[in-house]
Amino acid sequence: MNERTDDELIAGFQNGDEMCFNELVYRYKNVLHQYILAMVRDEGAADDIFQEVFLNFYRRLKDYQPEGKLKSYLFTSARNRVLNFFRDNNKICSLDDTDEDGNAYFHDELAGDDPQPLDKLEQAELAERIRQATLRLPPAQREVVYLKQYMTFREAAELLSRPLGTVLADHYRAVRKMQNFLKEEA
Amino acid sequence: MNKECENISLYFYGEMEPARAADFEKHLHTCPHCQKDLDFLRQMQGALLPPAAPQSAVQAVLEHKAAGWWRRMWRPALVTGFAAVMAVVFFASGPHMQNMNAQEADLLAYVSVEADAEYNSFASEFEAFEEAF
Repeated sequence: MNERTDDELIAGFQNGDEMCFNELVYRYKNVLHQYILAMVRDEGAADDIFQEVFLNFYRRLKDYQPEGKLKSYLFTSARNRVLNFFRDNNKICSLDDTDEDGNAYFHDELAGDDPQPLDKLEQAELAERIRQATLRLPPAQREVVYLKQYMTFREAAELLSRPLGTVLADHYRAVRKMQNFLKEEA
Repeated sequence: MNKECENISLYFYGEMEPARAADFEKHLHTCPHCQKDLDFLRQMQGALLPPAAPQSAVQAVLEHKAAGWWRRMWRPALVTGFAAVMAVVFFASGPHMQNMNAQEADLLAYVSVEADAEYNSFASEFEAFEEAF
């Protein structure tokens, strides 16, 4: 059976089928939660933002115009809340702040400094080290790395309101930097 | 390493135009940096597969949504229920009741009064609930 598109589910909800909303939640819950948590690095705050995003969407769903852009809508909504979180916690002025090398930076402490428990399987260990390495990236690069997992570079550039070339360059820098982090650890 | 190397991500994710991708592959065969980056991108893609969102957070969304749905619907539901009760009362007190025996009439009257009381009690409890939340 073909899976219903986002727009079909939205239309279903608007025609009175409440379960369509649940299906949309199940469709986007993992990627949205991963993105939010990667950005705020605080599980409680991530859960709160995650809930706000979906409940705000639910409240607006009756009047939402399906245009095939739900993913972009949800990530924009999540991103705005992530930015508010940073603002409220004085952790960052803007995700676009840069240091002298043109890299974005955080004002808070890095969370990835603690030694992680070693997994028995080499692949699992490497995967964990890679996830930790993403947390050491400047937020603008980290955001591009995670968004890229869920969408094309073009979609990410549109979402971030940045030129495609900038997004590509950020991703490339992030890839290089993460390899350096892993090399430092070795 | 040169400017061409910066296109490795575009190539890896299959977002490069086919003609350009063919050119890039030629570069890839001769560039150890890009080969290394390509390996890393493969590992990174696997490592960053999204884990399941916490069930508690998902459940909270669905429960709040359900509460929101009930908050929107309880007034119309009560109005409809009340109208149904009134219809029963009206029916019970109509001329056809003359043909009903005393026991049935008492039962219907009892149901009508109980339904009214149930409604009033529920409505006031729900007002208090709504104020609290």
